[in-house]
Amino acid sequence: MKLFKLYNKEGDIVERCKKGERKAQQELFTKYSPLLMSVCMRIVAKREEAEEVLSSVFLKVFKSIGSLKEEVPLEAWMRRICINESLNHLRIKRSIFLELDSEDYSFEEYRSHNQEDPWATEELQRMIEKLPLGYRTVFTMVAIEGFSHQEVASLLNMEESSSRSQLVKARQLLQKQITERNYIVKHERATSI
Amino acid sequence: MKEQHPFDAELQEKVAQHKTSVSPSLWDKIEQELGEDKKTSYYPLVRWAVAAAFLIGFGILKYSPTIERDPIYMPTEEKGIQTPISLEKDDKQSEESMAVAVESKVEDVNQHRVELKRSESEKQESVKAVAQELKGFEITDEEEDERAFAEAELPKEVLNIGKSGYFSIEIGKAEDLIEKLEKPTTYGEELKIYAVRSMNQVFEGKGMEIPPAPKNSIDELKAKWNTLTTALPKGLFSAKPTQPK
Repeated sequence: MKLFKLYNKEGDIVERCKKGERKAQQELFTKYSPLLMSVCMRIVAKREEAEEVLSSVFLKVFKSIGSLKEEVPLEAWMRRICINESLNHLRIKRSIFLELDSEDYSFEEYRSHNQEDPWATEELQRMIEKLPLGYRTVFTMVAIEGFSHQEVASLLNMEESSSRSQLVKARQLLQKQITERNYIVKHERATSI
Repeated sequence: MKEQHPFDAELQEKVAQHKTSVSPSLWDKIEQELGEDKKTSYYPLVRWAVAAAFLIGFGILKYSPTIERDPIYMPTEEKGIQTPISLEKDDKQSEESMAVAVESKVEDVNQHRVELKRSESEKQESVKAVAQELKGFEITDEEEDERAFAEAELPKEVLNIGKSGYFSIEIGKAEDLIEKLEKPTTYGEELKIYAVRSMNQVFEGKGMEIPPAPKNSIDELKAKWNTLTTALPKGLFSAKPTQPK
């Protein structure tokens, strides 16, 4: 019953957004902006730029929500717009595909976000954000958002094999960082006892 | 579907629903841009509203009893003019003429005035002749006439004015008009003069020679009518003559 009510509430917001009601648009923004901000951050990484992208995401959402079909989940639809806008932003700002391997990961930066649980969501989010641009783009699209390598290759104008290799490298780097993070946490705990 | 790597799956589970706070001012920025979009989307509405206001104003002008009617339409006892399509007998047709006249006025009044000033002498001659010729015509098929005018490749405003003149100039009215040619004092009169000139252009454009004004004898009018109907291009006016009495 609660679910039904929730569904109806969201449906109601969507319907009101379709009519251009400003209050409904604000409700939608309030509800989804933090989630979509994380999606943006995982690709764009810089907060200011991510907000810029998020702004254009919502403008696009409000503009085209009239064409949203009932059977399409709202969140998935918005996430897809978010990914596309983030990629567009990167294309405008810089050529990401020429520098797939050119950025060095700074472990010192990673350490600044030291927290108790190395698997804490917040920490993982930061780790992904700090991956090299190409790694995090492919990793976010495939591992988090569920895009296929074929889709990624098409959207990023690259070979499918490149997408696969970027994903593997990103995964390896993240695993390495988590391992190191675990070691540091354990070491710090040991020395503090 | 390909099986997801366990590491990816675990990370996805942790991160996919992660939320990052946004600046409080972000909504204001979006709202501002939405506001601008909204404003832009009003433009077509504004245009329609202006068009609607114009039509309402036009309707008021057309039907208001306080609008002074052009004396050329009004049968006057002093002159004893008999108008086949007078306001009393056929107010509707007269209203149409008035409507076209007002519409034309709104569209291009200044241009018409300049045109009149520029070609005063030409107007004197041609209007007299054409007004005389027109007095025997009677509109029977407006659509056919419009098509014929279109074929003559005249601008729309000329067509409207021409139609106005065509509706208006009848026996008696034409005489009245000719009398007033020397001193056009109202826009209505000027417009009709221009209308007659436009009609004249239609004829000339089709290579028709305008004969001199006939005397008011039945035989001459009949002869003139025959000349006109023979010389008119095919399809130009579906008019049939009101046989001169």
